Amino acid sequence: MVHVEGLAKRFKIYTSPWHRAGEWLTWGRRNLHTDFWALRDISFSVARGECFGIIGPNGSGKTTLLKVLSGVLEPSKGRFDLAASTVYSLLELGTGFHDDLTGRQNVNQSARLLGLPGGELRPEVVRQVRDFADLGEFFDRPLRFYSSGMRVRLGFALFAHLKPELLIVDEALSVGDIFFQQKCAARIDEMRAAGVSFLFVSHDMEAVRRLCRQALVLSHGRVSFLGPSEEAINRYHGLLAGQDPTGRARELEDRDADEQPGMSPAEVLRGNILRGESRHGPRGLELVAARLTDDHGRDTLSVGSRDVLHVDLLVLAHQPVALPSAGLVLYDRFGTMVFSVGTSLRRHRLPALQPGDALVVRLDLRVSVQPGLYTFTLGTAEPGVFQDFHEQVGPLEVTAGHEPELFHGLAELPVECRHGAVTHHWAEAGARVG
Amino acid sequence: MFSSLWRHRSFVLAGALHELKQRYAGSALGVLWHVVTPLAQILVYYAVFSRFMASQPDVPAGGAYALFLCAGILPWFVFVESVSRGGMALLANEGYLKKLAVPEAVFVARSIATSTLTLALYVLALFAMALAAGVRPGPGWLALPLVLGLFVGFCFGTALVLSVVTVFFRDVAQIVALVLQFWFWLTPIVYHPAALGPRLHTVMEWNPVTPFILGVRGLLVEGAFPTAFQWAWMALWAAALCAAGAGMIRRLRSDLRDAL
Repeated sequence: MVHVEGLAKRFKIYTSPWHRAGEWLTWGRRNLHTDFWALRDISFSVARGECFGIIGPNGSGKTTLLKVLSGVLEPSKGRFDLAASTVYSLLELGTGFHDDLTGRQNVNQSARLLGLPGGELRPEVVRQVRDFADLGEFFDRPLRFYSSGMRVRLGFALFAHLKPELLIVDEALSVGDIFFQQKCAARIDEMRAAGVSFLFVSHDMEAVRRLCRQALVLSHGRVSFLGPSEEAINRYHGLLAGQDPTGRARELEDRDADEQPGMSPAEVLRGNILRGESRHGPRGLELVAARLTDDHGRDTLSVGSRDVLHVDLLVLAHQPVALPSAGLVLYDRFGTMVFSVGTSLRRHRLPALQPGDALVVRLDLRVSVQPGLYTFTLGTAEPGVFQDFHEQVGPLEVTAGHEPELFHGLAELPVECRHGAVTHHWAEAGARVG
Repeated sequence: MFSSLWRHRSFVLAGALHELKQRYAGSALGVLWHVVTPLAQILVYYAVFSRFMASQPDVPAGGAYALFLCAGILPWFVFVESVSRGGMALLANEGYLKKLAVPEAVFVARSIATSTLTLALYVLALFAMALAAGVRPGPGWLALPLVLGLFVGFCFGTALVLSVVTVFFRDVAQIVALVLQFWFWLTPIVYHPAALGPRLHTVMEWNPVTPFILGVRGLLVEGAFPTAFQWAWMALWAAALCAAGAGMIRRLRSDLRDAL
């Protein structure tokens, strides 16, 4: 679908417009600019129906790459081939939107701007866009009365219904409310199933993780990693931290297994809460069972806010696993990831496993979140590969707990309150004026 | 370039209509700015030159001079608008060009389409004036669209070239405004070509706008068809500028997008 080979983009930097004029006048024989290579030697392929992630720190060339691929900028070297007749790019949702026009008029105007084959949108497509954007009577009001979220809704609704073969998305979906985001995600899945490919640039690693199987990490205009998105995200975080993640992996220390009561495979199996309904992964390292217990060792799906929950995970290897890892993700009722952790992330090295080996991993989790309903994803992984993921585990009820409310917001961050000595009569002394 | 313009024809057309509506109905004073201002300009020229030019041979007097003046100055207004607005078309649509792969010429074409609509309105007004002045409609009026078509092509080509250059050298807009001041007087609009001395006459003959102005005026007022040489001259200017504009975009597209 998309095939990029040795792509490079150079910008000519002129310190003064006269320098450009000088080059023109000498018919390019004099060289008065300096080159800036924003992209070098980029190669990758994307299959039909695949969602391909492009991630990287700010200024790494992501947007330049998308602009080249969508035809806004021309490559300086290399070539790319988009085997798609209809490519739309959401470089900015609603670029063609005009404040004075109504939502409906804007939809039509954008269609004309994009030079759709038919020129005009068919009425049923406009109707689909209207229904998807769900703007009510605002659809027929000028855009100047729209909130930014509403503009995004209109923009995404339009692009999602233009029947593209390849859709280039840049950060666009990180705006708008949760319900619309979920709707967009569902629509993207639907389109992918219909064979639409996506190039997806985002700083939202959750979105990349969820949508993309493969991803490219850009760093200073070069490909720093190309492969499974999970691994790509790790590399990206490594880049952000300014460290090489493989280097950090070597610092991991073996820790002694601490055998505690309740941590035998049989006990975990007895209290198993996994239903196996929404399960993914090749299961080379199987998550057989999971059990939640409170501080008194009782099975529970209800815990007080700020209390400790013991999460026991029984993993079983079906193949040699050198660096096994097990972890959990906690989601709130909107599907927002509140917290995600795993043994490898915490630098807790689990013993290497041989086929047939079982191991109980315990995560002691202080549930410092707002009271409410939550769900888990529990799973196992090897570096770069999900092995066995169980989604939608729970729900876990977090109750108000024993103490009165001690924080507001999604979750409690470690905090210390302190104060200095009182300075008496400070205001009268004129200290603020001086 | 022309196939991409064809693909975007409905954007060009709808945009032109929208802009025209915006101009004349968008603001309470829209009509004032777009009708009264040029009208005032015409009145001033008329007041001044109907006196001076009355002594000139080949220049009609009184109401006929008004028609003579309008047949020259209305196309000139369209040229000025094409060059100043069309020349800014790429820069003004920077927002789109930074994010969409839409062909550059589309925005220039949209601006020229707006000017063309204005031109059509002007020509209708000229027909009315000519009839009122007692000019008999002749076969020359049927040939008018051909001259106007070449004229629009010439305006488009000029705007295309300028719009590309303006992206790289933003002062061009000011320079163009300055040049237009002189250009106006080197074009036989308020006067008859015979009024110029031999040296200025040569300049005027090389002036690409001249054949169009003379062509329109000849066909409309005098019922005189352009000579074969004048036809060729008009076609050449229109084709040369369109080709130059298209060539510049093809050659400089990469740099152009980078510079925006």
